[in-house]
Amino acid sequence: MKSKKTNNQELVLNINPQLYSLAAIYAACYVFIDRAYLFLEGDLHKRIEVTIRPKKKGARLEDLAGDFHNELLNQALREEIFKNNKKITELIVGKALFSANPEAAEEGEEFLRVEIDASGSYEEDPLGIAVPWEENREKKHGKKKKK
Amino acid sequence: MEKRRKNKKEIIFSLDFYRPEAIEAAIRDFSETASFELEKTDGKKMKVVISDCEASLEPVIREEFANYVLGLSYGK
Repeated sequence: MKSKKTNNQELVLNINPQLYSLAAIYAACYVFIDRAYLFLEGDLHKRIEVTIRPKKKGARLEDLAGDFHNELLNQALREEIFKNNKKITELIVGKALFSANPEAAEEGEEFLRVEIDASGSYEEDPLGIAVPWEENREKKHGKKKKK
Repeated sequence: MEKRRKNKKEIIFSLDFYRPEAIEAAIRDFSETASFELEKTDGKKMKVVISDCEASLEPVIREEFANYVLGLSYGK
């Protein structure tokens, strides 16, 4: 990510959209909306330019840019975690909503059971979580020779 | 009544990043502080011309308006 000072009052950050999604860039901008004036330009597929101008006079542009980069990482991580946990979140919320209505509860239980069955049984262990650590290590590095 | 400035200011919004509905809604919300003209430059951009602005807001009207549109566009 490159940044360039256009003058002493504002900074233009060039962000690679291959690394950060537009949603993460929006979210980072939104966090900074009370501290700075922000403007989005550029090409959606090649390079997104974020112009930042602090609202307070005397604020250090470099500090603001550093904080913005950190926030961008934070938002990208949040997005990744959300993607990974999307299924389980939907299941929990679905169960909570179905439980609130006793008539729909049975129907909901059945729906959730079908969803869980479709996503695979824990006994199949598709991610290999149940494999002991030693076995995993032996597979990767072979058995260690005893001295 | 506060003094008004006749200076014109322009902002060109890329529709890849800003929603046209958000720009129009922001114009409605800012209509008491300044006058706005909306021009479509091409399919991907929208030009907003700001004039007749309240003197106290004049130095930052472009930036405040852009921030407001960004806030409305977020979560599209």
